[in-house]
Amino acid sequence: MINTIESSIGLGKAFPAGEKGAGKAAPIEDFSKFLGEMVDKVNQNQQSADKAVQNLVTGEAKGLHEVMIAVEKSAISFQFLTQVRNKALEAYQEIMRMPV
Amino acid sequence: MDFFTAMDVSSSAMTAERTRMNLISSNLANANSTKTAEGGPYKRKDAVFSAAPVTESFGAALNKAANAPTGVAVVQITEDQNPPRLQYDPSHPDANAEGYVAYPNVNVVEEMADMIAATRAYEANVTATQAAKSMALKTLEISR
Repeated sequence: MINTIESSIGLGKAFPAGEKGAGKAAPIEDFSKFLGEMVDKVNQNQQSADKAVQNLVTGEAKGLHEVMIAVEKSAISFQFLTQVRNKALEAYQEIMRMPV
Repeated sequence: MDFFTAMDVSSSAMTAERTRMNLISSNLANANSTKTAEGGPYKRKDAVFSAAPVTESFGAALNKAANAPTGVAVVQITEDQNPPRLQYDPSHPDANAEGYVAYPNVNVVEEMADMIAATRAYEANVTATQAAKSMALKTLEISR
């Protein structure tokens, strides 16, 4: 399940198998890049949930349950993004705490 | 297979049960309709369910073609071919030459039982969706 969530929100691209250690600058821009991509994907999920609610009101949606499931999917992916952000923040703080 | 696929499978089942519920409502509403657009009394409608694959990612579908989770789809809406219920009433505008009126072959008690079954099936699928959602949220607690 994590594999599919990772691939569906682009997390896998940030940590390619066999990191090549391109230097200290590369991990930092990878973080911001993959965080940006994740936020984009979560935003897409939220927007499709909004669109599904709109379709329900205008009568195009296939059913109330489709709308509810779209909303739940966007909520789950948003919580996943929150957890990843927490972990990234923790890692960053750990690194900043290292004595130079 | 991930939790979103499980939710899609349950969603397809909810669509199918909702279709069945619509047909049951239509049967109950037309239990006494002696005339339809095609002529003749209303015929009881029923839905035929069949296992249909839920759209998955292409790679996953290739790998697990035999074990892919299958949703359900309504493939056909059949009309019950049982003979209509005849009732003697020569004064009815739809009476035939012998004075019999053909009423639909809808058994109201049977339809009520089918309605309860459709409701319970729908609720079972909602519970399955909630279980998949709670499993996904629990998984996120690994990192807490």
